[in-house]
Amino acid sequence: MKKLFMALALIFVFISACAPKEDKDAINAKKLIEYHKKKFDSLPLSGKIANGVREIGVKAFQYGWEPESIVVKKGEKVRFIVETADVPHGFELEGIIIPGWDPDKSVRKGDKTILEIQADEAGAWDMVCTAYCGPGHTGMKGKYIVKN
Amino acid sequence: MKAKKFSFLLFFIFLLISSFSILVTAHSLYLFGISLDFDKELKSNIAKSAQKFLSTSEEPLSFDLDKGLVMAHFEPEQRNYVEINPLGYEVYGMRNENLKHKEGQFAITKQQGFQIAGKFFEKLPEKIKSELKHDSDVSEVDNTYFYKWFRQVNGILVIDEAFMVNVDAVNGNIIAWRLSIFDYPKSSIETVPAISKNVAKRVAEISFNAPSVKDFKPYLIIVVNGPVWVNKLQGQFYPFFVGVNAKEGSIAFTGTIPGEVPKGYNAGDEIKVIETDFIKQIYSQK
Repeated sequence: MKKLFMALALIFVFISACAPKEDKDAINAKKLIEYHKKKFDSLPLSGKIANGVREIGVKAFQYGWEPESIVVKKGEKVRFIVETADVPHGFELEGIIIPGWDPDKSVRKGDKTILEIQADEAGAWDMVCTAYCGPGHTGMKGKYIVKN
Repeated sequence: MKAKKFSFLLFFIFLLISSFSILVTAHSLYLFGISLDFDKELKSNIAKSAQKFLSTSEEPLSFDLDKGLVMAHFEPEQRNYVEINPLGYEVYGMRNENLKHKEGQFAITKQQGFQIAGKFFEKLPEKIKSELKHDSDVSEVDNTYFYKWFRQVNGILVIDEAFMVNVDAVNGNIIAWRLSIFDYPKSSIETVPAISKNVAKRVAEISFNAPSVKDFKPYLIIVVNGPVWVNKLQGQFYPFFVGVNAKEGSIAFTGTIPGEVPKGYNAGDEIKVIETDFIKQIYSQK
């Protein structure tokens, strides 16, 4: 009986020594995931609603975007009105296909390019220039955020 | 037979998906046939640097962009080009297929080729050389050898920043070389992770509801200027990589690693994790 008790105690000690570490990593991982899911919630939405569509003016310049971050709500139809302040720039939301838009095209000064997408998925994507616009081209990045 | 056809179909779908994702994310990294007409001075200075390097007065036929470097082409089909850093107009690389052997047998061993490439490497500025680590794995393509040096900061690989020399194995000519632009100086690169390898592994697994690939050992790399843990998950049809930002715990990339990783690279185990206040605050939440 004593031996059985000792064996059970040993097993308990062994399990409790091993289990919490694994759990702690998973718990912390879940907290990080939750934080990153919610971190955009407090951000104000970009642009304005016109006839049920979120309309956002986007201005490209060497080497950035105005606004730097675009925030929309999941489920919204989004209309981008893209302009350039200086040289020709391209427009792409990396990983998102914009219907009817060829990312190899560029927007020239004085042009207004109107593009529409449906914000179906929550997350964050890089907004990049796809037409070479000078030495800082590669670093010309903005954010497109779709919050829940 | 049906199973074979089905596996072919699956393989084809996989190729299609993987090539598509590469195309989508590679847009801003490599651009074909770029126009430099928006900046006459930039165009003229790039052309002048390339012409001086090749001792020619010919005008470049076209320009491409390769990870920040402007390639000035002097022959079609990438046969002869010079790569220029548009900041300062220095030559950062070249390829000249005319220097390649026309006929003949292997005359240069890998070791002899390395001596040729090594001498060339020695000409780099000391500051750049000190951050490049030679990779002993030498690839052999079309009777030429590729020698590579990868950038490392505090023993951590800076992804997609390297030096390459391509030596012809028949005539011993250097037919191509390329130095990447170092985006950030060593002093501006953060190498200390704030989350552990095991937490990063769990972030990847939980985020994609997929197990890690058995026997894959996560490792640490630098993406742009910060540390990222690389893990490999077993997807429904094929495995894929997940990069977890080691400072914040967010997903840095999925699918393919954004650059070449030398064989056997496994930095991470010996690196001390220092939890930041930001991470401590997240972990302390109920």
